[in-house]
Amino acid sequence: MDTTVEKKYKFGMVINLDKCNGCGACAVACAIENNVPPAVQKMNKRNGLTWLTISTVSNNEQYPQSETVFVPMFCQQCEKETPCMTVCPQNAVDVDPTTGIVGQVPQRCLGCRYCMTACPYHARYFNWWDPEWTDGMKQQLNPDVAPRMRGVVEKCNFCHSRLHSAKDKAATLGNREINPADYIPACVESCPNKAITFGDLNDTTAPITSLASNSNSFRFLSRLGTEPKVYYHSKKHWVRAMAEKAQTRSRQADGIAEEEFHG
Amino acid sequence: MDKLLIPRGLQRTTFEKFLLWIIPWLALLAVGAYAIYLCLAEGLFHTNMDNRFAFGIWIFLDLTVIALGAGAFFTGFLLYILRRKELKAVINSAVVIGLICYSGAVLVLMVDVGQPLRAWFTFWHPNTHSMLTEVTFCLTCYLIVLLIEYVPIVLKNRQLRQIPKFLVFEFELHKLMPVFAGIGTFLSFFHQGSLGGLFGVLRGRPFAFREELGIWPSTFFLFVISAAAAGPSFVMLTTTLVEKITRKRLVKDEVYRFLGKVSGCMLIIYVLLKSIDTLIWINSTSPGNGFPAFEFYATQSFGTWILFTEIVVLGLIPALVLLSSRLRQNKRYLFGAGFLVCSGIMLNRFVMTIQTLALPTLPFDNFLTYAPSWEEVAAFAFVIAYGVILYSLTFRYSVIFPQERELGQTNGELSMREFAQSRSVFKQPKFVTRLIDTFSSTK
Amino acid sequence: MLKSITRRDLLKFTGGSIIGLMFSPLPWKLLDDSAIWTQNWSLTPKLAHGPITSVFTHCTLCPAGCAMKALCVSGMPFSLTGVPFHPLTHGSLCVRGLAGHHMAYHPLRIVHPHTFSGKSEESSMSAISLKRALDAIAGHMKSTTGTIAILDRQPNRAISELYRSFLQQTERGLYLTSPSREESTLDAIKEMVKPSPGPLGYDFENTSLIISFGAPLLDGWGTPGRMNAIRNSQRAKIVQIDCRYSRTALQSDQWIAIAPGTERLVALSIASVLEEEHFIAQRIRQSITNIRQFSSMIGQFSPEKTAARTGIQPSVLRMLTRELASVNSAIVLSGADPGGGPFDIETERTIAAINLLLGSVGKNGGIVSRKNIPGYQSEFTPIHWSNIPDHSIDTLIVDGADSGYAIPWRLIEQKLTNTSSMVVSLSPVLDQISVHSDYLLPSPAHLESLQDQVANIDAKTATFSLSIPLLKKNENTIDPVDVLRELSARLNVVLEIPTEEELLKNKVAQIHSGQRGILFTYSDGSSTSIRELSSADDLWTALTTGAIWIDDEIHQLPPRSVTMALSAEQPKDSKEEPLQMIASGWRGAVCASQISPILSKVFQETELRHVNGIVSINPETASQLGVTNDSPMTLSTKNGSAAVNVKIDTTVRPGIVDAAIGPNLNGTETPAHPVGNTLLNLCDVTNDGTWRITPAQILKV
Repeated sequence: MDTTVEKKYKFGMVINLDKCNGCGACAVACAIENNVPPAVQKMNKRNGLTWLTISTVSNNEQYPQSETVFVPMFCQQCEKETPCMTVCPQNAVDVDPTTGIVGQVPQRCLGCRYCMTACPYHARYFNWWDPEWTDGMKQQLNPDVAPRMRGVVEKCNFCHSRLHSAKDKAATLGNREINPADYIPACVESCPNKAITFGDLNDTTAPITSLASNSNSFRFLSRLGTEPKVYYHSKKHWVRAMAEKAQTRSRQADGIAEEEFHG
Repeated sequence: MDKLLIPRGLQRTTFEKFLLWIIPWLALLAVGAYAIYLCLAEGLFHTNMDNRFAFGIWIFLDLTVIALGAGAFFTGFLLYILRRKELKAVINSAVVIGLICYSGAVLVLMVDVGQPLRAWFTFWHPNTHSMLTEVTFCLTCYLIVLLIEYVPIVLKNRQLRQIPKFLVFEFELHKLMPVFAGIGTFLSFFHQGSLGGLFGVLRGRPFAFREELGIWPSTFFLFVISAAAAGPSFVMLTTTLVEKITRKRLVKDEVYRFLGKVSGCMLIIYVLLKSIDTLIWINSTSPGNGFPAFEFYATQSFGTWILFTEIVVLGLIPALVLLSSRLRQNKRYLFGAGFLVCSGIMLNRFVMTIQTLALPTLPFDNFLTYAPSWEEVAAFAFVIAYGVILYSLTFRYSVIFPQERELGQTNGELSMREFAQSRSVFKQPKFVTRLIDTFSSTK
Repeated sequence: MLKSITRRDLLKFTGGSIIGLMFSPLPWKLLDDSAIWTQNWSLTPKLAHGPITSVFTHCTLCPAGCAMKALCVSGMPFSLTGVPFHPLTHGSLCVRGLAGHHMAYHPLRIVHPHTFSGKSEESSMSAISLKRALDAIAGHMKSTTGTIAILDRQPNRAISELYRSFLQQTERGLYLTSPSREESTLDAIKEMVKPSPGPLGYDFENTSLIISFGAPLLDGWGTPGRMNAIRNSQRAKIVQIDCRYSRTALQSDQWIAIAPGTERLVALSIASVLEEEHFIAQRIRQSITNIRQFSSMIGQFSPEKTAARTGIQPSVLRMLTRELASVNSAIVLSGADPGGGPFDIETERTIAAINLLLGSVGKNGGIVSRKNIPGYQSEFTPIHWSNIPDHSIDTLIVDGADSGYAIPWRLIEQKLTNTSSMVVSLSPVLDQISVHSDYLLPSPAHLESLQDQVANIDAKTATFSLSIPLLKKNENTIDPVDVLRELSARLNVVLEIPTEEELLKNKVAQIHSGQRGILFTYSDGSSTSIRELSSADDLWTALTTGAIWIDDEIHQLPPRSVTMALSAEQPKDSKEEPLQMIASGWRGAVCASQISPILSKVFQETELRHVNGIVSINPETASQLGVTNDSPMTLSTKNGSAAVNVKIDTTVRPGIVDAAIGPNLNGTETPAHPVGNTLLNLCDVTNDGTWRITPAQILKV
């Protein structure tokens, strides 16, 4: 009898902010992959559907010392006491223990938006409108992802459908584990500067693991203790300082000397 | 025309005058119904809520009315469990107000969620870690309890009383009232608390997040106590409002004073605990999450004055007024303080919902503003209109205030002028008195 | 029996039924079904089933013609990605290209010939038969005597050659390209060197320093995938000289902020340092025919003398010039802004001339010569729009292919005769030009027809590929070749005009007979010499299943003689304008019809890029004007005013209003429905054909 334990992945990302040029290819590729509808007339930054959104952040210096960094923001796949999962009244948020991916079940979502209040990264989006595509564009939807109707919440799930395809492919080939090259989220694939690194944080040999533990890598709101699996990387001090305003809670726990903010 | 439906021995206005009163509320109900229809049929884009303000005035007002409707359970608790007989005078009114508040809140909630048809999913796939599951279960059960408590009031109707089965049923039910009151108290404790817990557990919102006592954040207990403080005050205010509108005396003054005292006691406890909680939050909880508390009050519109207003102006001051038996004798101070208490609780709910969402979390977030759309206001107006209509009908055709008959006999019905002069809390300008004279009709 | 049924019985029956029903599946199934109903609303799109196939083709949305792999379900593309390891694009596909498959179904798509009647409030669009439209157009051409012009925004294709031949035959033809040319520096260089070089390109891969004057080098210029790779390899230092903190400035190694409109002065300053500090090599001096003239006049443009106007510290400019002179190879270029348009000729020539002074032309790592594609004519000389006489064009035919650069209608209108002009658009969508046309004969949309993709302006060598259609063409659309054939017949122009496929097969045959270059195949990433392909058919098959032909590099020779065309004109002491509106846009996204609706993710849903109507100003400027962030104001120029939303941005230079030329969310404007003036229409079109800088005012609403 085969009693091998199923491999536990911990999928994460590292986004190199020095390479991101704010082109938006990732946001568009994400929308195309996941059948996110285009904006209707009244949509704006606050009520649109952007599983992957990119914020333009300034160093607030005077011209011409003023500098900008682009910060892609999407579900950070919180690992510890995932805020959205603990608050959903009907278990419409499902954290897969074998991959660490925080999945959303739109078919069960009530649309109470409590999870949206809970998420500190504002990574969850509500369908305020029914989706609208032109008739032709409706035929061009990704057949692997179900479109959602109005009244439910949706968010990035690391292109879960691609994980399923990778698993199917592995099964066809008779392998127990997926080939990492077969599972690449749309944003990672589309970035022209290869600013996003995706992989298994449990794999010590994967490039992502060394990049995530690099001293110039950080996480947003790490002091809240949610242990997000999306890291950001920048050599620029002002960018790191902007992100980490005070001591990190998890670093405190590890007893590592805190980095103080001066500025 | 409907004389046979009106309880014996009680004076009510003519049917025509009653219709005149009801019709504007029906109109408001229609407008609200249309707004609700728009939201349900076309989508929630009719509101001004967005992805950053996922909760808007509906949730804020829901929390407020549930806190104010807490008079139902607390009065029931005091009357049936602690046997404070004075409250018999207002228990029915409190129950009707409670029913209106809770059913209205549930109605608005059904419009607020994106998929109301899936409301039963919470019962089928409950998440035991979520405060909202607890709220859903308790609210539903408590609404049923309130409906059960409302039934005897309906059955007091003159015509329905004539059916022996109903009379017996009402009698038996009345004997069970302590049980229902107990269940109601138990359920209310949990859902009032869980509503506070909704925000206290939000680790992602350091403004709202609080330390845990047991498995509940401190806001759980603070919400229960504040609701217990608001409830009696609201019962007090609504009763006096009903007296004004119907131009009758419905309860004895000592009932008001008792309600005020209860409110004051709960409020002072609340102010004390809230102050301790706030200090802990300022000095430990919030900085521990990397957010110095003063940062939250750095924006002009939501400065530290809000905190001061909530705890001192609308908390400590009315508490002290209500605790002073001398000041409670003065109607002006009594009702004034009651009003401040209710406002304070409303402000507290506002701070927990709207202010929490307005504040930035990510370092590059902005402070955001939100103003409700007409559909949101109209939907809530629907609840108010529905409440007024339900209360008016119940008041007209049933006995809500047992002391009404007694007070009606001793004082007789006052003319409008006499009534206005005797009941007015504030000194009436002469031209108002003259106006009342001109338009009042003698009955 | 019925008489004995009492009320009690009924009650008992009802109560019992209710309880009994609870034990049956009925209520539970209904409850469950209600959940399913909430998942299947009437608007649910039915997702396609069917086999998933992958097809290689090329994008036609801009001249870069990037290779892409399309994933199709039952033949319908649903996902586009770049081709990995592609020698030109390096696997990239730009944001617009990613959503290119949507363009055929764009809300502004037109699939039937239309005529616009009336040029006023009463203007309306009505369908018309193709025959009637062509008759009317030919009739107009016959009855008028003014110029017949064709505006071709992708001017190096096979159809472009046919356009030029057609116009030649009419004897009053004028071939126009977009006033905004990415290859403006190369154009200027060609004017100044002898012998006249053929096509030129940029050898970015081997250069050490790239100085760009305002060209959106890293934001959609040239072949975006190539430019990204250059940036990422970090072998060349990139310096952006720009008054704006553009995306290119943000990504470059050094951004030099200058006052708007002073590019020519900056170039002259660099030239003066080169001269002053003796950086111009002797052999180069000898090849420049007017070197003495240059020497004598250049001194007045030293960095110290121009600092006041340009706003650059002299030391910065000197250091840059020294760097320029010390590296092995350098490239200095300029380019139009997609929204703001080109620089004037003088500025272009001055900037281009620096390359001549450095000896960067005809040198590896600099500006290199390449051959023409076998079978394609040598290049034409583009006419500068400032040289087109006003009100001289009677008939203007606008080809549907887009370069991604905006053209203000005012500029075109200036060149049309006042009363008798006719504009014919071949665009598949309603865009800023086609809405002003008289007849719209829509071409097939992107990915609906066979197209050739020739070497882009930046390419080091000639290249050729084919864009294979992925979508079925609508039968009421017309291929431009067919329009040309029909018009030729009606005008008795003698010209052999094959079908698009015949035309391209012919080109491929000629490439094959050229017997040079390699074929890079996408499916396996292999490179094959053309000589190894036995027939033109084999080449055709390869190109139609995913491949690109890449020419060999040629040996570079410096120009024999150079005549620099530098203007020594001192800048006019212009009146100090309080506010200058600087127009700028993102390549290929200057109007709504150029981009898939899904690009709202980048525009209004994130404000990553600005839609039409958003302007930005510096905090200092804002406090002077008393304006707060995100306030609705009115932007006014001498050409009109528009409602705008003003944002405060520290990256914007004080004294300028950064005006976005972007998609208009209120729909495309037509003569009948001018939905608020777009900012492009507010721009001041000057006599030298530029519209980048316009004096403006910001007023309260």
